[in-house]
Amino acid sequence: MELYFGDLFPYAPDLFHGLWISVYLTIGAVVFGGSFGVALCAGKMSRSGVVRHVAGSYIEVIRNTPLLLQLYLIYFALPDVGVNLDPLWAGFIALSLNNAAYTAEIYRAGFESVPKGLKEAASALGLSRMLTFRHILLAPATRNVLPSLTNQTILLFLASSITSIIAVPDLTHVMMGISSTTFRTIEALVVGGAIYLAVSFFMAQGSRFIETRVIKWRVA
Amino acid sequence: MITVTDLHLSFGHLEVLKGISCQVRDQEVVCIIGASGSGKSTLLRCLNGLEKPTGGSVVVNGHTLTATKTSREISLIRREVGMVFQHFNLFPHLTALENVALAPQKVLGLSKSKAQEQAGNLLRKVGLAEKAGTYPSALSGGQSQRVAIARALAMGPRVLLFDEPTSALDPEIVGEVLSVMKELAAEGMTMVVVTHEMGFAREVADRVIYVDQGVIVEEGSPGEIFGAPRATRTREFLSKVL
Repeated sequence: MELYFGDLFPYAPDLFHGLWISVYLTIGAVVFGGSFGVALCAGKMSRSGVVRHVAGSYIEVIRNTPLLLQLYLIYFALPDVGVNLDPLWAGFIALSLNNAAYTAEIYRAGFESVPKGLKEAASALGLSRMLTFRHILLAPATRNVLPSLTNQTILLFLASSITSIIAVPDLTHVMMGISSTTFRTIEALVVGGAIYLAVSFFMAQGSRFIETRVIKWRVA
Repeated sequence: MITVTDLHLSFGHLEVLKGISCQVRDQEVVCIIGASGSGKSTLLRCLNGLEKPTGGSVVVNGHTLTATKTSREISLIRREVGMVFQHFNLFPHLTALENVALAPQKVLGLSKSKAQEQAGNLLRKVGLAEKAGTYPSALSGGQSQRVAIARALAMGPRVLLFDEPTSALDPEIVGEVLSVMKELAAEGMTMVVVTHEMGFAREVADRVIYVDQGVIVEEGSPGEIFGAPRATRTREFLSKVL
């Protein structure tokens, strides 16, 4: 058989639109899931045992069940209790909730890697636990786990392809559509894969650039 | 200013402080000396609530700290007491200026411009005006410690605690930190200094306290302690370090 990519050209705008949806989902899940993840991590470090347990249980449940199942639960099971979400919202929520658990675990390692002396210095200056967390510990912790956070973001971007199953019009969904209308299955998959590869590679390089060139400080 | 009464502190089964009583008067410079593991740093850390005593009390300017006191008391004490650490503990993501300005802004509620103006003045005082925009990773040990001193001063403390402020420094830059400390002492700042710098203790201290195995073995003027120590343990310790 012969490969021919020419049939795909007319679909370029569709592919870009699909990519936009994938990126959009990823950014949303990073912003909301990431913030929720930091909050979960703070919860795990809380002085209240109840808060610690709730946060810990959430993280364990999410990390030990398939993302696809979580997505199904939100999209197919929630309507039974009267919550109807369109696919994009369902995908966004599933990815955010999932990302939060992983981000919380990454941050746990991050906070553990921050020298204990910073916390003591903050206490000695009279900063409350809340102020210390926000203004003293968060930035060094983030800096220390930036490579892991980047990795998690790339995984999330690739995992967002799962939402195509509930008909979110993401890159994978567009790719499969092109495949079935043009019968150029290999070509469609190769082009879609190349787009995923390029964007992921770009994200890794961008993070590396931020780490080495943009951030002018390092944790002792 | 500070009154310590029968202070006890244990970590598990290990009793680190075994009934310490001492006083620090207003404008006094007190140096605490002793071998590693003698409990001198732990004693210092009790004075601002970084360690919670298991018995006895610390009274700082009318605020009492005991085994059962709440974090509210501790935060009141911390407003009066500044601390400088052996390893500086500067905030790595903030410039020298931001390190000094942060706590006055967040804890005392100063405006950003006011806090930074004050921070600039304090950096000038410790001779680091030109390093205001530098991050800690690009500062030398001596510069870091001077920024840390400025940071502690920014809260307007009545007392400054120094926990081996020169122990992590190269010998040739110890002097720059000590001279800032001497200046503060001359201005009448009340200071409690845990140190291995016997020269500094002899020259600047009003009183020297020798701690060994969790108790105060001897205290007196530098002349008394270094010139004519009464206790055998003090004599033995000084013969090793001098």
